Amino acid sequence: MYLIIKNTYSGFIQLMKPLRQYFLIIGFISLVPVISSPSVIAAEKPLRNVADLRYGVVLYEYFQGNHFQSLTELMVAKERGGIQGHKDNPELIEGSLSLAFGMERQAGDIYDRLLGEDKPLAVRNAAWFYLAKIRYQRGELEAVKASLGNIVEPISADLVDEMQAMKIQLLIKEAKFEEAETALENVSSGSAAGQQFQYWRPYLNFNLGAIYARYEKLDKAQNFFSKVARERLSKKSFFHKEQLALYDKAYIASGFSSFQQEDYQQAINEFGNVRQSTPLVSDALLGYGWAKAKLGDYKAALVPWTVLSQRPIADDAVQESLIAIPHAYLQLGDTARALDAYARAEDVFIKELALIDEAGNKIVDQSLIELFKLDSTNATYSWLVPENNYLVEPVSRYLLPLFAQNRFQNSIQSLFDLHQVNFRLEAWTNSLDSYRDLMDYRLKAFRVQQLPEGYRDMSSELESITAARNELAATFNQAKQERNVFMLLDEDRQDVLGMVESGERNAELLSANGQNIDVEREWIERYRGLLLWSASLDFDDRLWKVETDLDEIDDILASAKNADNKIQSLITDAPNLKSAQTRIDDYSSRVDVLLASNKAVMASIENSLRAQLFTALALQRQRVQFYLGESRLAVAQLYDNKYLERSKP
Amino acid sequence: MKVLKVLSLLCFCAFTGNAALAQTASPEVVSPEVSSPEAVLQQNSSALNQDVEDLKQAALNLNRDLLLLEEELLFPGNTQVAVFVSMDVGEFFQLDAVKVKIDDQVIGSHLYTEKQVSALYRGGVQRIYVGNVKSGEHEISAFFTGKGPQGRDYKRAAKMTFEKTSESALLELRIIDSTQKLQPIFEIKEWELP
Repeated sequence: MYLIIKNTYSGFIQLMKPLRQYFLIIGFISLVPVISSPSVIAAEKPLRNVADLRYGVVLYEYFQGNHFQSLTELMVAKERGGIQGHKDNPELIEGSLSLAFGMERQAGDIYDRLLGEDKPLAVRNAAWFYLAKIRYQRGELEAVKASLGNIVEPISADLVDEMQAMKIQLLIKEAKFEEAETALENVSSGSAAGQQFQYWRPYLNFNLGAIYARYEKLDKAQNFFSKVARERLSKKSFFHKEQLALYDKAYIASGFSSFQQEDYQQAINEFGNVRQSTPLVSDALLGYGWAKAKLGDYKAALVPWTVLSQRPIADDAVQESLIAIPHAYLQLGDTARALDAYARAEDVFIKELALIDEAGNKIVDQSLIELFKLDSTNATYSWLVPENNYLVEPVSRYLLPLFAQNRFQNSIQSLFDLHQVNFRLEAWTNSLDSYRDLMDYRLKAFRVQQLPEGYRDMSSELESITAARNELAATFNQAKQERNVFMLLDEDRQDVLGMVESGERNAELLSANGQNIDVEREWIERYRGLLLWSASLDFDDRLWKVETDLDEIDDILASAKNADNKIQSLITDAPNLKSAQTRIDDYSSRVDVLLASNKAVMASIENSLRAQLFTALALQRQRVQFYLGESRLAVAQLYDNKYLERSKP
Repeated sequence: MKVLKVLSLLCFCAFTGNAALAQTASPEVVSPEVSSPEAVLQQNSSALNQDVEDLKQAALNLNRDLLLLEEELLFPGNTQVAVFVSMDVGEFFQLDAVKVKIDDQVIGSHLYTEKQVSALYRGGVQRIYVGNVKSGEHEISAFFTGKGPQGRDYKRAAKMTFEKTSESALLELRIIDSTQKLQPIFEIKEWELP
């Protein structure tokens, strides 16, 4: 009988379990879409082009869950003048990234800063909303309400759904059933907003059911669990794993609720809807058996319990099934089979106790990094991956309930984050050693290339040569354009031209003095004509020659400038190299200090996790010991009864 | 009934992590190093969270400084060239891989995971290469492979000549959906330093 009562209590536990799970789920979901939310990338959704490449790089890392890398990219960009052209989004994203990387205080500071400035309404609304989320995570419900109260119309369509969900969740947390119910109903499923709200509705319905169950309003609880469960039947689309798990929980909760209300047939129907493939099926099988037993059909109860008893023994439902089976045999009057079943249970429980001790030893002896298989080469650690993949046997068998606890999750997430930090710092240690060698080499090279005695700055000479070259180029271009042959004469012809021009001047003087110079003028014109004719003949050759000369001058100038640049960089590099060496030494010290602090904090987290692991193991041990004691007691009582029967005269 | 109470409390403890009950549990698996761990942890939890956050902040600051130093040492602006990959909504092209050459030398290639492609679709930009080239004219060419319209194998290339000056050269390989041509367009854009 105690088993039945215990099982009834277990029903309550089952009702509470999904509620806790919901907080886990909502906590997770509320973080994930922060950055992808169009409200954050307000002006640029869909983001087809970035205005600043660095912003795109930040997003690329973030969308892959590489929070550390993404935050670093953002900080480097900030150091180099900040991200341009994306309004306040970089700052909002920094807040979201900080939140996702477990830096709540930093995220809160950023949002506070945004709210302290004169920012557009959309930015202020987003900042208030994410502040509300931070406060929700901290459990500061009044502060959450205050933050949400600061959000004013018009509210971005993408914020509305989650904000409404959060408001309803607050009412549920405060056990304001009717208000929560009304608020949930008011989000009409027929409206556009209601359609978008469909994602949140099952979770809120489930939580309403859970809170009603906690306050023993079982008919109401049943109603809401059924709503969630029926929704599954009405949907034909491919379900998300997480939603399927929620539906299973709803069926189980609904089943236990029916059981509490002594509607055992209904309970059987509800338990029967739970998927066989889910780990939650253990609770359904146990409940199904007890509902059958309540209807007096112990033979039928044995079917799910026998199936259940073959499952891993770490599950408390399986442990209970091992005791329930002989109990059913006794009810059926089959004492021999009951004794066998008790003997098997005793054997299983003893082995289980040994495994628990082995798990305890592993926790003491093994690094938790190894125990949880934390791989520092992975940038992300997702809770959506089945938990067992992350744990070393046999420890994993006992820790599923722990994984549903926020504190445990946070601790292990912090351990993973710091393990990654450790990995990066150690990598930097190696890089810094290489950079130190590189600087030594460069400094040595600099000393070899010490400037020779008598070195003088050639920069001004190079400038005047460049100016002369440009003048020549201008003459060349003009001559080419105007086909002015006299502009590109060689030296001999320039002399002849000089003589012609001198003769012209003299002829003008003589003419001014009244002398007849017609013959001289004719000669001078003839010479000028001859000169023009001869210069025209090789004008194209001259053009080519000057152009080639200009190219040669350009090459020489480029080479001279290159040499000069090298000398200048040598001069300027010397102090830079020394400064880089100093920075390398400084950063090396910082890496060493941080590595030491990191290891110390990791050790503290490991202690915290170990404590939680030991607590879980101790409870498991206590439970198994209890079942072991009960099975032994039952066997003793059976023998006592038999003995008493025989002793009767 | 006593048994019942114990059992009930045990079950409750299993889901609430009740500290007091935890201490009454069997001591046989308690760590020798951590005595009454739950109570101590409750007190220190907040301080530990602060430590973790401080440490993360310090690590981020240091990582930033080191990245800046590394870039100055290995890729100074007068020789630096950085190549990025971006992608439009990806309706007409499903990216598998990119190979990049500068002056006919392969300088980078990448085979994309589903997660990385998704990050590109959502507006992320991948920095595929950072390196050094001499001042002057260079040619960059990029080869994109993936699935094109109607899921067929698709391989396209794009190339561009750029002038390396004393400023960092920033080149973006862009995959854009052309709604007019109903096929992807591949182009290279040179950015000016912000």
